[in-house]
Amino acid sequence: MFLPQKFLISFLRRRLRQSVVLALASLLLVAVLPSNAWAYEGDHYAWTYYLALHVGFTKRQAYQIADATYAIDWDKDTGPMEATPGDALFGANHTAFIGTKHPQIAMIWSNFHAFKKELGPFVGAGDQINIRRRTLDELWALALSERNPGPYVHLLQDSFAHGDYDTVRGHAFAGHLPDFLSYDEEKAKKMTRETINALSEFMRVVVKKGANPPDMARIFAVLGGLMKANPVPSAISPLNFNPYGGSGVPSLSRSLDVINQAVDEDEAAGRLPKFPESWFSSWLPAKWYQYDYDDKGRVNDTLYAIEKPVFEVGTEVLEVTPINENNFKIKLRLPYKLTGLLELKDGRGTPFLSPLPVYEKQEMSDFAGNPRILRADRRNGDYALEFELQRSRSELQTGVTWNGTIHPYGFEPITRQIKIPVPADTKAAQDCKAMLAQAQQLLTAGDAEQAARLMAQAQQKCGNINQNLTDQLNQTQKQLEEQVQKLTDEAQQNINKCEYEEALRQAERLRQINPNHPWLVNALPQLQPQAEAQHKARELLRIGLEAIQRKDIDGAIASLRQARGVAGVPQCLLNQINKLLAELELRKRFITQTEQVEQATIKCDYKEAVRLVGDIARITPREPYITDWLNVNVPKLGELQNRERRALQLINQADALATQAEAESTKDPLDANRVAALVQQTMQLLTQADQEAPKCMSERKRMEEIRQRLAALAQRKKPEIAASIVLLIDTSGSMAENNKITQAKDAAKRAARQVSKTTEIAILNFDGGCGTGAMRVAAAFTTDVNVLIAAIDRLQPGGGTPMYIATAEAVAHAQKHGRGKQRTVVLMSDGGDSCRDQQAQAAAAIRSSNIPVSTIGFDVGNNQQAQGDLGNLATMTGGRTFSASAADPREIIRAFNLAMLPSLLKDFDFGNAGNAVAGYFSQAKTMVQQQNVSGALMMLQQANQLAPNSPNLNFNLSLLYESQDQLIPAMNHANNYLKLAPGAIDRADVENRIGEIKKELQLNPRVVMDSSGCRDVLAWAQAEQDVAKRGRDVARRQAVLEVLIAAQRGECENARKLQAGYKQRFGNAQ
Amino acid sequence: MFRNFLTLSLLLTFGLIVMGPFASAQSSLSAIEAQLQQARAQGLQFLNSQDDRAKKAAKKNLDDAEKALKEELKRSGACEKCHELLVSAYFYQTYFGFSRNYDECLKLAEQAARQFPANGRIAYFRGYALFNSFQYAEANKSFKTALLSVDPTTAAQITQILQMSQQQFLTNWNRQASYYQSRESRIEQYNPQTYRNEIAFQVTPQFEMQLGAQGFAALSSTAPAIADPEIQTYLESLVTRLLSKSPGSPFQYRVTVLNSSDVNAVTPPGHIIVYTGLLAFADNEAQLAGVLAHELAHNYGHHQARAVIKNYLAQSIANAALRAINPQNQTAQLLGYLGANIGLSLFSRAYSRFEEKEADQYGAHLMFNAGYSPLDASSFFLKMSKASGKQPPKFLSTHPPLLDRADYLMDYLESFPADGREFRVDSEEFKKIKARLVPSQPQQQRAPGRGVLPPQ
Repeated sequence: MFLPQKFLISFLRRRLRQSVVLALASLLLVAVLPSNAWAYEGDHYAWTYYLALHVGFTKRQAYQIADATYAIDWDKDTGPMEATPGDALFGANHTAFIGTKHPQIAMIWSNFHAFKKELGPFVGAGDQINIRRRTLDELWALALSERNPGPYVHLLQDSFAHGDYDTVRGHAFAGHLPDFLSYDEEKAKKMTRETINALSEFMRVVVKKGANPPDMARIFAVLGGLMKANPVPSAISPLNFNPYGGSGVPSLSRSLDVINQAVDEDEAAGRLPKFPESWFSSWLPAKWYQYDYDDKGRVNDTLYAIEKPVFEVGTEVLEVTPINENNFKIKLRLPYKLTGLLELKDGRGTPFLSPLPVYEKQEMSDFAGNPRILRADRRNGDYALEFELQRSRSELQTGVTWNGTIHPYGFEPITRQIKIPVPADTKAAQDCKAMLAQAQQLLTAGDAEQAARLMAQAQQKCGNINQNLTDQLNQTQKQLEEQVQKLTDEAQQNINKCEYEEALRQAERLRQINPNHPWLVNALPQLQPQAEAQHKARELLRIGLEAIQRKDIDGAIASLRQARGVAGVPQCLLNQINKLLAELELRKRFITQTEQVEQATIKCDYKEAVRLVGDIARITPREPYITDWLNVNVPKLGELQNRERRALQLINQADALATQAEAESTKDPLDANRVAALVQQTMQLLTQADQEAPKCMSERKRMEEIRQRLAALAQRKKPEIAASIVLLIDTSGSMAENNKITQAKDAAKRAARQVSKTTEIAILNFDGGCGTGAMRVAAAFTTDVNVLIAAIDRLQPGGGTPMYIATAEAVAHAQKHGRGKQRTVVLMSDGGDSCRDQQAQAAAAIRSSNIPVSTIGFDVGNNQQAQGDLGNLATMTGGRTFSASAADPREIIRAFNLAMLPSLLKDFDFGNAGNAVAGYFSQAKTMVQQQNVSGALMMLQQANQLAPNSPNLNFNLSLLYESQDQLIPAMNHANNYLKLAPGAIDRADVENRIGEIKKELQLNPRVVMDSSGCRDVLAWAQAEQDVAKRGRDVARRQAVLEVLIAAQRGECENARKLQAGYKQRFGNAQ
Repeated sequence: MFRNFLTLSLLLTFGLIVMGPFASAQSSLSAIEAQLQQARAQGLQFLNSQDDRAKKAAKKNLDDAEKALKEELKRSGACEKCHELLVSAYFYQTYFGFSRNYDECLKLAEQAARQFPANGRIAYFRGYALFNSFQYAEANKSFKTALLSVDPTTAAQITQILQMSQQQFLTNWNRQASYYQSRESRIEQYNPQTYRNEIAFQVTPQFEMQLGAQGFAALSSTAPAIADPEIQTYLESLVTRLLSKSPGSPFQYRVTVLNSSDVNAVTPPGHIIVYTGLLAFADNEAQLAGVLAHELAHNYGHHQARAVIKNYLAQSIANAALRAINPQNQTAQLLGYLGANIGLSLFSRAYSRFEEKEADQYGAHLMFNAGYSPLDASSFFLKMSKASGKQPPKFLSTHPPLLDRADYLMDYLESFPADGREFRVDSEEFKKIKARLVPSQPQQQRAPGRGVLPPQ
């Protein structure tokens, strides 16, 4: 056990003052001065109580411990001052002279009050320590078995007060001085710590609860108060010894005052738990229960073991009994049980610490009769929280809950919440309610007839159930009447609007609801024949309408005439028919004439068409539709004539250009670029002409002829396509956010600029649903950058992300239309696949195509699904996956570049001339595919040393440098390429790229660090720098640093100039 | 092998007898060189086959050579070849496991390199020793020196190891990469109740962001903020570029521009405060990037959090007695106190010399990775240093002295594979913003004196 050991260590540290002289002197003194061994006296009681509270014992437990500690001093078997029977001869009575030679008293002093045992002249300090330890162990074992640490704590505390005095001499020297806490503050603090440790350990082992971490600052403050209350007295005399307030020993009553006040303060400040109601006797009493210890420190008392009360709460019981339909009696009961409480009496036999205060609180959530608080004194037994109340149904419907709290002193409060249920309705009320609800529903649905029938029944059923239902009944009846009035109004309005049929239908409905309605009786006789006539005429009008739809105007006119003849047609209808007839006849004329115009136009006979339009313009009255027609068709006709004229012009131009191209293509040497340019121009003219020329134009035949001539030319000289790249762009709705689509378009345009004579690109985009056709061809494979850029410009975001379906279609497109040896799909998307059901099928199709798909996640962030979809696409096809954030617009451009890089690299162009170089080439290509561009660069640099004259090598180096954002070397190698292959077919493309790099460098200048030209200056400056540094000359250091920076940067000329300036100013130290 | 050695030592003895004690040093040195070659072969044999005899032979050869070389050096301290051979001998001692580390070898090599700066062999062995002790920055410099004066075959080998070393240098610069897992990021305390060390406090990115927010609150009130979306966007993209190429920063940054003539930028975690004075003072984008990279580098080094922990540990000595009684509470209270009162003091304090050096190093890497030359940071410091002669610009990090830092950066630059590489210097946006901040026609300051005479 570690506590006694700890104690021993501190004990060892003390130097044991042993001096023969002193011992002799003390023997003399002891003979005249009485001595005793009460040690800390009343502070055993008060201080142990306070410390026990801080360790976490309840007040009742703390009292028991403190009491047991104190009682040691007062029991005849353990008290130092008590007479031992029959030993008067040896001076066993302590109050007499020296008598401690007596073995019994020596045992008591040593075993309970920590005096050293007198063992003889040759016994050393170590034995004393062993004895003390053994005694402590024994008392600790006793504390555990008897469940009260009192005697142990007493001995522990006394070991600080008079651990250094022995059983022979007592503390005669000092009298009662050591019994004052204030005698030795350091000791008192040590004692306090050891006591806390012992109490904590006891708590852990016996109460099975973790002890509170003690607030030592506070405890020492209170200790200070205790010491101040009982200062060491100046004079010690056996005469003024009085444990209740004399000055010879510490005063118990003063100590109690200090402790009781400290406990109050601690509770108020929350340092100790505070019970909600005032403790009925919260102060520690100055009286105690005395235990009867035997001379081993054992006690035969059932109330000795410290109290371990148990508090249990049972299940709550809730009873709801109806008083009548709407009022209920509610009974609540929450039982609880207290056991393990001790019935302790004080020294005078007055019951003390028997009942336990319990704080009970009950509360209803609707605030009636709240809160009900009871502070009860409880003994061991069964108790319950009870509540009885009345509530109406409507009150209960608002949701009433009961909250009950039981808080016995020394326990955590327990709170239960019970929701009181709403009792069910009676049968009659339920029926009536259902009926009214159905009537309401019918009314809302507009079925007033059914509602009226139901209401008649409800009137009988719902009477006299309760007021609430009666109100509802009346209200529904009122709604019904309102609907009837509305129906009547509508019928009258229909009559006014010449809608007799509709009016009759409403009248019929009214008759079902109320056959005796006054309006009905008046209106119905007239209404019936009028409605009949209207119906007949309308039948004929319907036939007329059908005829109009068939474009059979004659039929329509006939029907209308018939309708006019029906007997008894209301005048209002007759007027309408007449008006319609006149209009139809006019329209008949108009239609005939417009048809003629159309026929003339279809035949491209514009002259005849113009004449006929003139006729139409003269029709009177000029109806608005005629004007509309003229407004549309006159300019259209003019435009057609213009288009005919322009188309003719374009065709003539194209014819001339085609002839020129044919002439160029037969020239030797052949200027392929020139021919291609001419063909392209011609194609453009033809495309324009195709758009311009009306379909019926006879010159279209000539256009076809020119196309055939061009095709023949193209077959004669067609550049070989090496790579076909599909740029598959996500145009789903999310791309519209954050301007992403603009960034993506810019990047795609830059990527599109990579087309060349040997590299074709197609722009495909995807969005929308999960069906086929998710992918759309914005631009088919072409080597014309303008076509691609125009296509990219047209892209608009909107719809979903059918990624895999679209990719499958894109792969199919590449397979079908791509002409290059290498075919690649580069997919850019900002989200995950939105068609997950079709994913597996699409993936299988993609995989089987063997076309690598490289993917770019644009602004994907940490969207795991998108990352997964894109990554899987790349891995399963042997492509690569890249990601670009929207924060830096350069990232997406870079990603496109890297994705396209493997397709753009050219093959080795020296045939079998250099196997080593070819090896570097193929390795570099593999490395690029693995995204290791810097490695690839290293390979190509090595190759470049072996074959500096390879144009394709320079081309590839240029591309790789550019992708690494090293623009200057990229430009240099591109220039080399053009120098080495002056007739390159993609010359124009490369020149374009160089131009763009130049522009970028002009805007955002860069520098290549290359100090190789001025190594001498660099070495000089580095050496000079050391000299300047040693000289502590700031200006000199600055100047040399300037030289150094210029030299490192590779600005050798400037560096030399600065160097010269430096030498002039400071001289040359070297 | 053993016989060879016998023959050799016989020859040596014989040579000494015949030629006398003052035989030419040259020939004895070549014998030692041969001995070292032999030791190398034996050592390799030992490493390949764990042959104990080879091990003993190698050890003996090395010890003998070392002894002889030391004698030789005593006689003539300026013996270049002796230094060269002794460095290699020390190297082999460690490589074959006879010595624990390369410290001795490096100490000698450094001294020798200072004495004979152009010696390629010394630089060669020094470079390998540095590389083997993970000091890549210095190794790069040594290999470069060695490259200047060796034969082409060796040069190719050196180029290869130099590339490896540079690769390591470029990837392993961030020594605080696993800061949150390190003991430096936490306060551990002995808990007497459980008898064990427990983590009382752990620095997290959230905690650092909290510090940053406090710092920002304190610093942002020192000058009026400018809400200019163009400057904001530009600075944000610049910072993104610096951060995105150097992984390891746990923070998201917000840029704030303060209108103040101070040439300064501060980055409490989560914030970047740029003073207009800095934008006006920097010559080009690369210099601006240099300052921002340096400030961001403080956060890569977790300097604020480390300062908090250090402060705490200093304070806690004073509170040790209280803590022993109630460790948990005391720590929590003290940390709460530290956290609440740090604010300005943490960010306006001068960084220590060590922290500045670390930030300069990391900043150089941030710049390099983002395509800027660390040279421009040097030139910025030079400019600052020049300007501070006339009117000292307020720049928080003024110690260590600017020139020392510029020098140091120039030296550190040597470790980068910068030669032949292209770097960004300036950008259109920077020029535009600078033109707006600094009026193109500065007011003409007239010299006091005669001036212009009005006509009659």
